[in-house]
Amino acid sequence: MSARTLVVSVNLNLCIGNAMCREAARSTFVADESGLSVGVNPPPDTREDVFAAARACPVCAILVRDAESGEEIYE
Amino acid sequence: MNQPIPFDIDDLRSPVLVADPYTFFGRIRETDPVRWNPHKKAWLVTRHEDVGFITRNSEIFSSAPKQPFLKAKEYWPPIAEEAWDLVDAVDPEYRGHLGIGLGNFLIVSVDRPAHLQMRQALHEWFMPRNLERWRGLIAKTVNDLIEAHYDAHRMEFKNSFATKLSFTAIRIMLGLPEADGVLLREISERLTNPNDGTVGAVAALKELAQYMRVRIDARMTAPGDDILSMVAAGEKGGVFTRSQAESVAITLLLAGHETTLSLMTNGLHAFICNPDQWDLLRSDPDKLTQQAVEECLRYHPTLTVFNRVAVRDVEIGGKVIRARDDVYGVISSANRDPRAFKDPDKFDITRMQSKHLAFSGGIHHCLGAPLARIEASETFKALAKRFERFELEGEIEYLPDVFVHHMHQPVEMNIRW
Repeated sequence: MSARTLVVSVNLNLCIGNAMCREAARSTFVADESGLSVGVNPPPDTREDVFAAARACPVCAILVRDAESGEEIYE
Repeated sequence: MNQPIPFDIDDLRSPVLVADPYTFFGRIRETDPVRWNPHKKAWLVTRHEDVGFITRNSEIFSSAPKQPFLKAKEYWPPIAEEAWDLVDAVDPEYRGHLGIGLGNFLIVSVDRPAHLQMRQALHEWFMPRNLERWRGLIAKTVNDLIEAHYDAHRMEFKNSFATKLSFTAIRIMLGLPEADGVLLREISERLTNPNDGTVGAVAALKELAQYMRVRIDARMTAPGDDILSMVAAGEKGGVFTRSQAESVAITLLLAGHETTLSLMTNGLHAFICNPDQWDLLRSDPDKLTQQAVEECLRYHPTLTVFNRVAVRDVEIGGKVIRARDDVYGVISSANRDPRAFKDPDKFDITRMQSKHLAFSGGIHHCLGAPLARIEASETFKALAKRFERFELEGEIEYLPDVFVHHMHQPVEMNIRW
């Protein structure tokens, strides 16, 4: 069974640039020019690292969805 | 419109600053937003955009302050002469706790790459989802405190409620027994209360470091489900030296309650001064408490300022800051900047997703922010459900000398209902 494709997004109204996501999933979360984090899709990192990044966000700004159904996933 | 009160905007010990940092720093923001202070010998950066820029650019603005490495006689505000030798004998790793080498609290005062390792040693505990397991205990503590005071129809809120709640929560998380609570709170007070003088603070610091040493050592061999065990693991793994491990434990104890009790006390004060907002919160506490807490954080940030040192020359707000210059980001001005917030001086709990800087931002964004949010939301939700109206008894006075402890905290707050 192939893993479901994920889509990540960062709510820039919440993001404060703590950058812990960029440590957990280094290719999926990158800094924009103002020092906030933005998501790269499809996520190049492992599923495990992507969810570790989402959990590490201190302001819960990261959303992970299923690419097909759009359903929010928490792991 | 009221006549503006005359005061010297460079006088960082002005009573206007102590009583009303928003007016004081607001005047700087609207006249000279990046201003050199000749007494502190530092830049004050006051606009929301510029303060946010500093938080997110830690490679330009270092958090390793110069002050703790100065001789005691070189500090500003000055340290009493009889304490100079004592202070100079204190390990710089601890000095921030004396309320003199501000910003030198561990992890807070460290740059990357060491900062990342230290943060990661503790970050897991403070992740929002991991902290949820404590919400029930916090809600229960809130309810017990309400029950204990309800029939008296009055209380001194800061010490009898806010301090008890936030201190109990962090004490339990650190893994320290209830029996030590009174002692720990007493030492903490001697350490942070600037009225006690530096000599007393140095003695209190040594006691607290020794207390933590014994508990950290115990967890080296027998770790438990508590924060001190993570500190011990960090020391074992080479992330913290021995004195750093003690210092970080002290930081967590102090930062874990002094700040949150201010949030709750200042927040309740804002509601008392704005009864329409209290009525609004009471109309649907389950729905409105979360955003109300954010507005409390925006309106009355606990920390008024944070300090940095420029690593290289950098232009900000049209001024050139030179390498090695001291820089203060002024949170209480940024949070009231009309460029970032509509009607900034209005306490309005209907604001959504406001980008306040109460917890700073960037890599040094407050580690305990998710915990503070849980404690404050459980408090305001429970109070809103139970109390129709609070009134103040007497005037509020604030801790003096903002540039010593950085906090906007009432000395006490007497309320009745």
